[in-house]
Amino acid sequence: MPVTHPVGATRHSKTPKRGAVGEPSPSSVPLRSRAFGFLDRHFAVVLILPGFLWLAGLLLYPVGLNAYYSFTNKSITFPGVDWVGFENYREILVDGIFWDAAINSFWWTLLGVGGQLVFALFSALALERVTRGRGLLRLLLTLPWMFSSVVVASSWRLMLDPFVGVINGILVDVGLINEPLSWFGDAGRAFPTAIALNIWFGIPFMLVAILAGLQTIDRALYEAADVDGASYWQQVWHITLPGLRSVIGTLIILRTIWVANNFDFIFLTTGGGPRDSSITVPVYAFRVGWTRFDVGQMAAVSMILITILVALIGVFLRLFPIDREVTDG
Amino acid sequence: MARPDQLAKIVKSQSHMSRRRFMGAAGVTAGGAALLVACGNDSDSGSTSTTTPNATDEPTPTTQAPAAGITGEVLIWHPYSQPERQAALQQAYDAFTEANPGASVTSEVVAWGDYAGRWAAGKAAGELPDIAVNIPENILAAHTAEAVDTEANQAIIDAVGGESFFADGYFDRNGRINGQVFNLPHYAHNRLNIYRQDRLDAAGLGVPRTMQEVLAAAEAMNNQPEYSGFVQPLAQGDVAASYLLWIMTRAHGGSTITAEGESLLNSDEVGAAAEFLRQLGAFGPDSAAEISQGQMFNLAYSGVTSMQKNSAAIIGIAFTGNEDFPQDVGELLNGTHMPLGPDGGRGDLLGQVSMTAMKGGNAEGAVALAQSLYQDDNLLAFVQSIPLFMFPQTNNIDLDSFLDHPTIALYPEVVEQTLTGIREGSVPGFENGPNQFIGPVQTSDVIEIAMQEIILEGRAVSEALAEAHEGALAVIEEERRRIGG
Repeated sequence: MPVTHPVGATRHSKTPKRGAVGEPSPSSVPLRSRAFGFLDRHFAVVLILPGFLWLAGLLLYPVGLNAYYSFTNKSITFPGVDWVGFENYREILVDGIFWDAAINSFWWTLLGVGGQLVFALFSALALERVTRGRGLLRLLLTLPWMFSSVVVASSWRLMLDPFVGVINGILVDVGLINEPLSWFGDAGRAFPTAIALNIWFGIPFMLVAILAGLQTIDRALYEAADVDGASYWQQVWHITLPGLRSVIGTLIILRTIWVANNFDFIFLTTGGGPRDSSITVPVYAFRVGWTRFDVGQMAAVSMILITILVALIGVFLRLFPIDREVTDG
Repeated sequence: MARPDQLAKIVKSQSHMSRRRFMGAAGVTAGGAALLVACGNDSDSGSTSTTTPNATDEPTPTTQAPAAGITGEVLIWHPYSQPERQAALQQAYDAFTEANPGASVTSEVVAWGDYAGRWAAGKAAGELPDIAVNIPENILAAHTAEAVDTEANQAIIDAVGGESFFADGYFDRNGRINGQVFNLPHYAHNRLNIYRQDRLDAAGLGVPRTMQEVLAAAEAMNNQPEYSGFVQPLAQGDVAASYLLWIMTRAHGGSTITAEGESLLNSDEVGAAAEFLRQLGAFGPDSAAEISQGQMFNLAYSGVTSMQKNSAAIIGIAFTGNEDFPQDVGELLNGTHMPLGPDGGRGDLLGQVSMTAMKGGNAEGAVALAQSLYQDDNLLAFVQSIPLFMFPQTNNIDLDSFLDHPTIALYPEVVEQTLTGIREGSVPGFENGPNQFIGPVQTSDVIEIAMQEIILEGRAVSEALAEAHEGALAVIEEERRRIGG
């Protein structure tokens, strides 16, 4: 039995077009009914809207506010905010320390991500050939990732301490150095030491991801290569690396973002010193914002860093098409 | 039984209504949640340590008189991490909550160097404390940012009986700017030359007082890499090198900055001071650039330093039973004034630890808690909790009873030099009263970098200081532009 509509039409009848004979004009329909009608027609949007607004609030608001502050002289110490146009950007770009920080950030990211990738790749390939105790080895190799960066940085500072550091003690005992070295206090040594620490810390994440990627490569390809007489390194080059392309691409993109933005390792080990020799852009931004309390300039530094990273990730995404399967081998 | 097509129509029909019901229910739920959140806002937030008057949950008898006085939470930030000092503070908190049953104290340890970042973040988040303890240079920056409650500070002064309650001239020297009191003293100390008495005796030398004597002692007590003659902490992000340069500049009759905020880093006096520190640096470790002031206690107690600039706390801590600082090592330490200048000038860097009321929202609580902290027995217990270190800056403490403490009585010269420094010295840059330019210059690292270059890289003193001077000018100019000066 058809359901009777309150105004006399039947529910199974085709919905009359707007303006058809017998339908009340829009102006005569109560506002409440029109609102409910709108909600009915766009119910999916209504359901999505809270989540969208939440995401927009989390992502767009801080970035937008940061962009706005970068054009102001906002300071924590001084009340009032004035629009200063590109003055913050100009001051940063004429500051020699910013360029030192930018160059250091380049090397910090390149050597950090590159070093982590190379060590992780070779470790993963080596682990694949281990038949006994592989689980334990994997666990041990992922240990650095299990500690917070504060613990890692403090521990390494202590181990490399020129007075009580165990590493200096060992190096002196085995005769590699004559007297304890100041690893974080020497301008020529501090930055390379921090990079080495960063590489050590980041290897486990890449190692686990590459190990997972290795499991997805069809074993039949290796068997066929064996039959064809391909050497181990030929198999790595022609089968393993192409098979890992999307994994490696994802890792490079993620780690580039994380390492370039990394603040804690440098801050906790060298503080950017000695004599600014290890300062990176995030540490520079921190100094501007939390030592000089110049929020406007700090925001400008952040915007510059974001712009560079977005451009870099765009290039990486073209180089490593991580969202589609590679079929050309 | 309904056919599938009929069922679909019924479901569609019902879903037509359920969307509205859904929206209505969502509205009711959101409204209810908002109401609950609003009602729940009165609960206390988490804290490091909270003192409340009633430890039990027993209901208050209805016959009891209503709680009089201060109510609510009073949040205090202080840098006192040592158990001895915290126990002494607790005594004052207990007295406060006993007198004000409706109030509680939340006490958070905020390290000396963390205060600047914490108040800035707290101001941005609307989470400032009611009372904070730190040094005047750092508090002055908070005052400039309008985070200090100067009216509450004045109320504290009135509550304890006026400015005569405090050390003579304190506010003009350290606590008042543009007619507003931005901090009050908690205790004071002086920076001394702390030396290893046993190594000095072994070298057959007397107490080093002049620059030449200090250089000779540093050379005689230098046995690297085991231990250094004189350790200068030069790390960036620290102000220890700035302090040392200021002390020696004062000994030469100069300063690093004028009252009007003119940099004097290119002056002859600063140059002479830097030259002395360069010579002294020859008897320090190569790793000085990674050493900060906070590490100096550990270095002294691990035997790495023969001499260093520090407060007498480094000796007094050994008498508190703290196992990290054994008494047998502490007893090897002694102290005197910092090296005298060529004309016998002294550089006494006053360690003026101050408290201030901040705009945390409970000004009445801040005033009452400060009163409790200044109460005779509470303050005496506090300043003697690490003997030889914290000297009272109020007139309600009988100095003789303070000095009668057995540990303090053991070190008459340390006491004399500390009291002289408190009397004649000043906060760095505050020689003519509070100076809001010195803080930004000291935290800008320009002096730390210059001293690293001079001592560790062999750069010419004049060149390094000229560059530091330019850096300081830029910092001062920015500060001046901001305040419209």
